[in-house]
Amino acid sequence: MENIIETMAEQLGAALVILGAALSVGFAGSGSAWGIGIANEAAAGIMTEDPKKFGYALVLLALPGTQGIYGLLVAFIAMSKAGLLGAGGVTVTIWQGLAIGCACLPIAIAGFYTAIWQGKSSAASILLISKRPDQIGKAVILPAMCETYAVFALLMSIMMLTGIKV
Amino acid sequence: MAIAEMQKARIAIHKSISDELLKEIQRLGCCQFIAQTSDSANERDAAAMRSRLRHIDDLLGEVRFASRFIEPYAAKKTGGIAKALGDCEEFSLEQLSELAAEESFMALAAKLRDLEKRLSDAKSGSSRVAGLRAALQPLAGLPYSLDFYSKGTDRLQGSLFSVPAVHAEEFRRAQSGVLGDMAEIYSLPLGEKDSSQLFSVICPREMGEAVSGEAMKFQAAKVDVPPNICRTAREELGKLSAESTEYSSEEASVIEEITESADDVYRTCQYCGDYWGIEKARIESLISGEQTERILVMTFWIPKSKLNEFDNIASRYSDLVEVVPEEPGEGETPPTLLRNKGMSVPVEPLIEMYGTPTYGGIDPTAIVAPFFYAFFGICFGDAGYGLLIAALLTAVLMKKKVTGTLRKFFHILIIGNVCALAFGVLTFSWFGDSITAFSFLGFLKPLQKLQILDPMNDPTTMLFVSLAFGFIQIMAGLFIALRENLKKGDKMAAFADQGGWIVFLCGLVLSGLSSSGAVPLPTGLCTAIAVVGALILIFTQGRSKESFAGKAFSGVISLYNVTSYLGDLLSYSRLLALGLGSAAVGMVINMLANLVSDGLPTIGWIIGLLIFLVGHVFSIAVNLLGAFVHSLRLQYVEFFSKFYEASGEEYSPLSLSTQYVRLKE
Repeated sequence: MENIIETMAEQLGAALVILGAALSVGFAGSGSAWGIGIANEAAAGIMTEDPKKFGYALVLLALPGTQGIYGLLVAFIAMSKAGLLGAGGVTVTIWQGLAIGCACLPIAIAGFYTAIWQGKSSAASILLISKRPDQIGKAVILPAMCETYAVFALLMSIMMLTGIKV
Repeated sequence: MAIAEMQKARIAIHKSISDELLKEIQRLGCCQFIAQTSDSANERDAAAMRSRLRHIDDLLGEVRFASRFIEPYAAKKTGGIAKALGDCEEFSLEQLSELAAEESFMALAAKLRDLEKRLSDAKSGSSRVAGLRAALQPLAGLPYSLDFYSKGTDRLQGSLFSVPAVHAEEFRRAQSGVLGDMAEIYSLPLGEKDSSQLFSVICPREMGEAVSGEAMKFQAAKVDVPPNICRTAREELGKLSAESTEYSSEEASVIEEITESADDVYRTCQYCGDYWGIEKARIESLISGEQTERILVMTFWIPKSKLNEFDNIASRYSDLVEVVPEEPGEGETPPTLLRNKGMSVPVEPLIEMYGTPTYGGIDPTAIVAPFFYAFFGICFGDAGYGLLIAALLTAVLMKKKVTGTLRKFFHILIIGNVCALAFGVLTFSWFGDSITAFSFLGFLKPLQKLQILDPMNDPTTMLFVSLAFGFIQIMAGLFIALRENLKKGDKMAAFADQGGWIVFLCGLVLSGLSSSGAVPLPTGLCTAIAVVGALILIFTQGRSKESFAGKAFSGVISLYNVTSYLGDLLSYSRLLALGLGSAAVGMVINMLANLVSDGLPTIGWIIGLLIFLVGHVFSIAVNLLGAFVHSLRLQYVEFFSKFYEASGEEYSPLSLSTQYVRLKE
C-alpha cells in the first residue's frame, strides 16, 4: 500500500501536466478544425462562382486556425515546465502538476469555443468578399473580434504557467 | 492630420475645344466633376454625347467578352497584382490609342464570336453523340434494324424490355405462352456486369397490348429506341464513332486556332479595355456638364494646391475658357483627399479602409501611424523575423517598380518589421531563442547585453508596458476629441465629456500606481484627482435631462462607463500575448529541431534543419497575419471609437487610370 502511494506521489504530478497539455491541444485544435470546416463550406461555395477568390478565401478561413496553434503552444510550455521534454527527468510534485494542468484550461476552453464562432464569422466574411472583394480589409477584421478572447486566454495560460514555481 | 483643402469651381468651355481640354484635365488628374441635376438646354448635343457613351460601353462589353473567352487559353496573364509589382508594359497615351484600334478590334471580336460558336457547336455535338452511343451500346448485339422498334411496319411492331435477370426465364416462358407462334422473342447476350436481361419481342400490332401487360408482371421496363435511327445498332454505333472523331478533331482544331493567337488577343483586349476605360471616364465627366448651343458648363472639386497647374492649362485656351471659383452650396461637402507626410503616408489606405474622414474633420493618419508601427513591432516581436521580412521587401521594392496601394502596403510592412527588429533586440528574441538553443550560434550571445525585457520569464513587466501603450493611446484619443470640441466652440462638451474622463482616468491610474509604490506621489492626492474627475462626470453627464432626478441619475450612471474604458485598456494586453506567442512558437520550433538533431545520429541535423526552416516560415506567416490584424483592430475599435468620424466622400478625380498597362508620365 505504501508503495502505491509513493508511486502516485512520484508520478501523478506528471500525469496531471499531461492531462492539461492534452486538453489544450485537443480542445483548441478541435475547435480550430471545426471553425475552419465551417469557413471551408462558405469558401467552396463562393469558389463555384469564381475560383479566383481562392486567395482571399484562404486568408479568411485560416483565421480560426490560430487557436489550435495557441493550444499547441501552451501544451509545449506546460510540458517543458514539467521537464517532460528532452532528456532531464520529471521534476513536479502533485500540486505543481495540478496547477500546471489547470493553467492549460483557459486556452483549452476558450480556444475551442472562440474558434468555432470565429469560423462562423469567417464564413460570413467570405460571403462578403464574394460580392465585394474590395472589402477584404474589413472582412479580415471582423472574425478577429472573436479571436480576441482566445488571445486573452492564451495570455492567462502563459502567465499562470510562468507564475508556477517549479 | 491633414485633409487637403478643396475648391469648388465652375468652368465654361467652348465646345470646339471641350474634348481637347478635358483630355488635358484628365492627364492632370485632379478634378472631380459634379453631375448637374438640371436638364441641358441643348438636348440634341447631350443626346449625341450619351450615344457616344453607349457606344463606348458596347465596345467595353465586347472587350469583356473577348478577354473572358480568351483568358483560359492565354499563357501569359497579367493582372492587377502584376501591374502593381511593375510587371506590365508601358505606353504613352498616344501609343495606347493606336493599339486600341476600334475597327480591327471589332473584326477580332467577330472572329472570336465565330470561334466561340464553332467551339460550342463541336462540344454540344460531341456530347449528343456520346449520349446516343451510351443509349445504343446495350443494343449492340441486336441483329435487327432499330426502326422495327421505333416505328415498326404496317403489321408488325417490336418492343425492347429490360427484365431483372432473376425473372428472365419466367418472362420468356410467359411471353411465349401468350404469343405462341405469332411472335419472335430474342434475348440479347447478357454482359458480365448486367443485372438485367434485354429481350426483343416482335409481334403483330394487335397483340402489342397483351405483350406489355404480360411484361408488367415481371417488373420489365420498356426500352425506348431513339427515333430516326434505321440501321442496326452496330452499324449506327460505327457511324456515331466516326461522327464523334469528327467533332473532337473540330474541337481540337478550334482550340489550337484560339491558343495560337491567345497571348496577342489577350494583350489587345487589355490595351482596348484600358484605353476605352479612359475614354469612358472622360465622356462621363463631359455628360455631367450642362450644354448650351456653343458652351459646355461644368462644376468640379479641385485641391487648392493644384489650382496653379489647372490655371496653366486653362490659360492656354484663354479666349475659349472661363474658370470661376464658387462657394459650396448648402449641405454640400467636398470630397476628402488625405495629404500626409513622411512615414504617415503608407497608413492612409488603412484609414480609408475604415472609412473616409469627414471633410473639415480630423485625419487620424499621423497619430495612427506611430502606434500602428509600434504595435505591429511588439506583436510580431522577433528580431530575426523582422530583419528577414524587412530585407526581403526592401529587395522587392528596389528590384520592381511597385506602385499604388501595394507600394504603401510594402512600406507599412517594412517600417513595422524594423520595429519588430528593434523590439526583438530589446527582448533578445532572434528566430525565437535560437541563439541560446543552438550551441553553434554561441558567438551571437553578446547580443543579450541589449536585452532590457524578458516577456517569457517576466510577463508582468511587459503587460505593464502594453497597458501603458494602451493608456497613452486612449488618452490621445480623448485629447483629440477635446481639441475638436474646443475648435467647434463646444466648451462644455470638451470640459465635461473629455476633460472629466481624462481627469477621472488619470486619477484612477495614478492612485493605483502610487499605492503600489510605482509613483512617488501621495496616494491621497491621486485619489483626490480621481474624485474630482468623478464629480465632474456626475455633475455634467446628465445635463441633457430635464428633471433634477434625471440629471443626478444619468450623472451617477455615467461612471459605469469606466468598465468600457477598462475593457479597452485590457484589450491592449494582446500586445503582450501576441508577442509572447511569436516568441514561444519560435522557441518550440527550435526545441523540436534540437530534439531531432540530437536524437537521430548522422541525418538528424538535416531533418533538424528542415524543421527549423519550414517551422519558422510557418511561424512568420501566421504571426505576420496576426500582428497586422490585431494592431489594426486596436486602432479601429479601441482608438477610433474615442473621436473618429468617417462620413467623408472619397476623392476620385477624373484621371488616366488603367488596369493593365502603365502610362508614361
